[in-house]
Amino acid sequence: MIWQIDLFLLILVVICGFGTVATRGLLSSTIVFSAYSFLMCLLYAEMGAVDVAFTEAVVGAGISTIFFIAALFRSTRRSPLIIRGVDDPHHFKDQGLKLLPLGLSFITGALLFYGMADFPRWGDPGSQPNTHVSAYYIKNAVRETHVPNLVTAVLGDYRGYDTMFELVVIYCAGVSVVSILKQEGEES
Amino acid sequence: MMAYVVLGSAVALVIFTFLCLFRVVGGPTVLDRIVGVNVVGAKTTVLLVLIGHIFDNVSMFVDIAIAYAMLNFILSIGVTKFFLRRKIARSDGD
Repeated sequence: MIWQIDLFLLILVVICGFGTVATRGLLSSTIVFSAYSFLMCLLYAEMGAVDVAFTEAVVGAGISTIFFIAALFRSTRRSPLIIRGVDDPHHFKDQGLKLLPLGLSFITGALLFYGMADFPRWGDPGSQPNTHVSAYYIKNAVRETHVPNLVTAVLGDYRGYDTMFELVVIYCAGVSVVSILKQEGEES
Repeated sequence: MMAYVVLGSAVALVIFTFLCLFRVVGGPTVLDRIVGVNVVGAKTTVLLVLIGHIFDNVSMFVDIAIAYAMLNFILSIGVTKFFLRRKIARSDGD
């Protein structure tokens, strides 16, 4: 973790988050959201979680943005401002501050911060996951699963048993993706 | 000495990302935003390699940087294609 890069990246991520909500027009929001995803990937890579960063880059920045754009393309109802590509400066004037969602977000954020106090320090070798679970995986993963990549072994084999119906969930997601894409191909 | 140069250039790149983000968040038209995100992605590609240099593991981060550059390209292509089709559809509608 490099705190100089970390500080500026977190500020950038917060700006992108607010920008996603504040921009008028779905295409603009999608583009700002993809910038958010790029920066999150950078944040993960900078913390040393390279595989998570790769997943975020492929799924967050690549696939989900393309899916959002495809959904926008297929939807018929659109505001004239989107086509013109111009933001409405009076966007926030006509709708007042929504107090209930704002309060709910603040309460959820406060609860998350409260729960974060119990986390072990970043990269602490004496924390619980690093002393118990990781050591077992490193020692026994290749012998038990015959998968040379440790991350793949944990995701595909151990979590398949630990989390109930994990493989069923992945199978359902795959089936739904295939059905959606197939429908799209037949129409056009 | 070399480590400071790499770290300094990385921090400078992150700070310059603010300027791109100014266009992305506040840019008046969608095309401004598309170009802004493209530049942010290019900066991110360089930053990944620099972070790899800081972690003394360049070979692993170069792979991600290449995949990243590719995704950035695909993203720009997708968005501009959407924009182009919408424009054509609108001129047909008029």
